[in-house]
Amino acid sequence: MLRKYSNSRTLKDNVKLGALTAFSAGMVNIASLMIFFSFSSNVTGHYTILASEIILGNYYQIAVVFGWIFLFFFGGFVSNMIVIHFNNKSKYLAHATPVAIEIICLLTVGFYGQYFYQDTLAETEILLSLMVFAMGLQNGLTASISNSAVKTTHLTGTTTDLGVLFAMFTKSKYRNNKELRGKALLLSTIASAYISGAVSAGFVYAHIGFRLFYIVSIFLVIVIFYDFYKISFRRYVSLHRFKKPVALKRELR
Amino acid sequence: MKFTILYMTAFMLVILSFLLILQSRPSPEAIISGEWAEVSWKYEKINATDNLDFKNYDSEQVKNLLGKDLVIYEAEKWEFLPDGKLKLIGGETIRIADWRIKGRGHILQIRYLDGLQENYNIFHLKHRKMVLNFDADAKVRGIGQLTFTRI
Repeated sequence: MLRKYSNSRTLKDNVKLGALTAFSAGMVNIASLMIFFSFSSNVTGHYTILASEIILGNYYQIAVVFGWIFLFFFGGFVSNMIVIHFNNKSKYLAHATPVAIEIICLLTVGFYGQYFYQDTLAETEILLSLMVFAMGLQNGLTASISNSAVKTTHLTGTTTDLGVLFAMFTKSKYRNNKELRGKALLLSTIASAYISGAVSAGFVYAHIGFRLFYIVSIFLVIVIFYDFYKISFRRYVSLHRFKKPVALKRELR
Repeated sequence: MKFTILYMTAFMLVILSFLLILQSRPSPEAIISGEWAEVSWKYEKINATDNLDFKNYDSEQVKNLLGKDLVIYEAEKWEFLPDGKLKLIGGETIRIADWRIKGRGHILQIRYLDGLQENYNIFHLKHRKMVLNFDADAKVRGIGQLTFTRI
């Protein structure tokens, strides 16, 4: 899921990455809406709200909403910085680090929410900031490593592309195009995973509250360790079967 | 190196201006604290097919239509205490609830001691005037609007 970069990624890689990260994003977004009455994974709405707050002259709200938009941008910035600067050293580590930071952010929200949350507006703004930053990191990473094929935190583009694709499928030459069918599969998977994550989180939140963020983190840990396991497993096999060890360093690249 | 400095400066400027605005403006929690008197009830919007000529209704009629299912119905004065308690005062009756502000400061959440919870959209909040919107589905579907003035 995380080892391969850009055009070397297969449809299967993108579908797996898209499904797991979209499921997590759906969970985070519904959690932020239920707890804090604000979205964390889609910023289009925040841009609209920013415009309306500017019209109303609510400077405090302008600063808060602008801060959230900036943090989503900054998440994407940090993600891509890590990817492009560390890709030549270790692809896996360069791609796994933003997910690890995202996990730290979400665990912080879960832990603080479970033990210290007093329900104040300042806490709402700060915890939501962490979630928005985490979503920016995730979206920046998936878009960066998949050549913008996988974007999982919001579905505006996905829904538009699905509409375009399904219109194209009314013609047999497009229907039989393997690449377009693959794209439709990927986008449908992302949309389904996102809604599944959101619905399941909505039900689960009522029972477990802030501990929901630990579950989201487990999904992201799977994303990280799926490739780590594969790398370790391959190394183990090559060491024991062929007696010609493939250097972990080379494999990690 | 030149770009690093440029990026760092730009990010620092954005963060500083963001913090400066936050520091210089009172938060909605600070503005809402204190005593407010209910001024009017009205329908902000209404489901058109319900054929209600709501524009000709006076505040008391709207209150009777909209508010009977709400706990705040009897309250004429609202006192937001800094410790998160809300006193709903109506004549001789005083009801205590918890208040919280959520989102970007646009949701007022009131939690009653029996576990009941009501959410109001803060449409306008300045030092002298507060306007709350809420979804109304008693008798007629629409958006109700409550206006307050500071005492």
